[in-house]
Amino acid sequence: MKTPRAVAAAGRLFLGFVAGALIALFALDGWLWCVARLARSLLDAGSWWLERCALACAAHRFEIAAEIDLRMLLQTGQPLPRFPATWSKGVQQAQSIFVVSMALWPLVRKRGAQWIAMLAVAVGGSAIVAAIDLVVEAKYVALHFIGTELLPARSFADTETNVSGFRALAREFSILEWIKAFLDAGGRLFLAACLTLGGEAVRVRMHPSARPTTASGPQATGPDD
Amino acid sequence: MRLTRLLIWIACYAGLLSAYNYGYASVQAWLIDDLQLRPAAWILERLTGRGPISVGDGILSGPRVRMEVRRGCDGVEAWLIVVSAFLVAALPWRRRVAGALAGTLLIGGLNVARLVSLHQLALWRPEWFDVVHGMVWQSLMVVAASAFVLIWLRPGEDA
Repeated sequence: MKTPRAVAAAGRLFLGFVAGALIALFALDGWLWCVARLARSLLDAGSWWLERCALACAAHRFEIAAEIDLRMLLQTGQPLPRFPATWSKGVQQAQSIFVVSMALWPLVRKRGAQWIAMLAVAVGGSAIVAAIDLVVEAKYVALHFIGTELLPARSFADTETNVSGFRALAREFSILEWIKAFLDAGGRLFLAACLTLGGEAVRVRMHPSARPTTASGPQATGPDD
Repeated sequence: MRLTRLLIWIACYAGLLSAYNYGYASVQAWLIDDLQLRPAAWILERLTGRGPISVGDGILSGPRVRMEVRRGCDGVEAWLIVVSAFLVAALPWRRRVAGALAGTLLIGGLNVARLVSLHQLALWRPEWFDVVHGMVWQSLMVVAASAFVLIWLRPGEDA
């Protein structure tokens, strides 16, 4: 390993880290808003038991409000009513995801406009990871509440709809438990790093009109990297 | 970095992390207490002149600060980035072993520095603790591990 190149890389990394941290601390509102919107869309699309989801970011906290609607029948024959649910979480984990992406972006091996374009990959990729992380945690907390407080406090009718509903909730909870353990143990930051560094794997071919017409000239083939 | 190798890296990392989560109880004592907290306690006793600082069950206890190291804050996620990367890297095995060892020393040293700095921050600037613990050090560990892997895997290229 050539020391000057390693030192240059470390320097770019440090600058990226400092810039990312400063942005995360003082100017991340727009990015956090995007994360909240994306997370809301994911919650709407991926949770049959959550209705009227509202997700916003204010005062360095994500605030989620929704209604839990399990569509189950009580033993009395009445449908289980909807339950309002609220949840709040600090933005520090999302900030960490952003900082990791910003720190590693200068190391992506692209040149010129492509290197700048990889910044969009880093910013967008980190927003996706942060949104997924938020959704996983929100659903985990909600399902934990459903399983430990909502369901045990009531008697349900023995119907096929109820049984399949219970099974679906249990299955979803065990999947979320595994994903959450992965994310909590470091997976969220690792995914942010991979999405940023994965920009190197994007190859852009040279435009065909750049090829010379004479046979003696160099052949302009292969990926532009 | 090829896309296929990146995906294999992610899968390897996920597997190692799952194995760590599964076997956490059996490795916690020596991985957290012996390899991280005892060196941190040794440094703190000499740095502050105050002691003794006791270690046990993932907890560092000093005269005025008591710190618990939980899963996710133990440096293992950064270390597994290094280990998984060198498991899948297309390098001669000697270079892979050397990289993994150097990365282990880097991550281990950084994590001890993290523990010492957070202990001192809790003493002297507790209002900064949450931000430094939750954002700065968490991201710094992953950035250091990822950057180390990237630089080690590119010996003859422009940085």
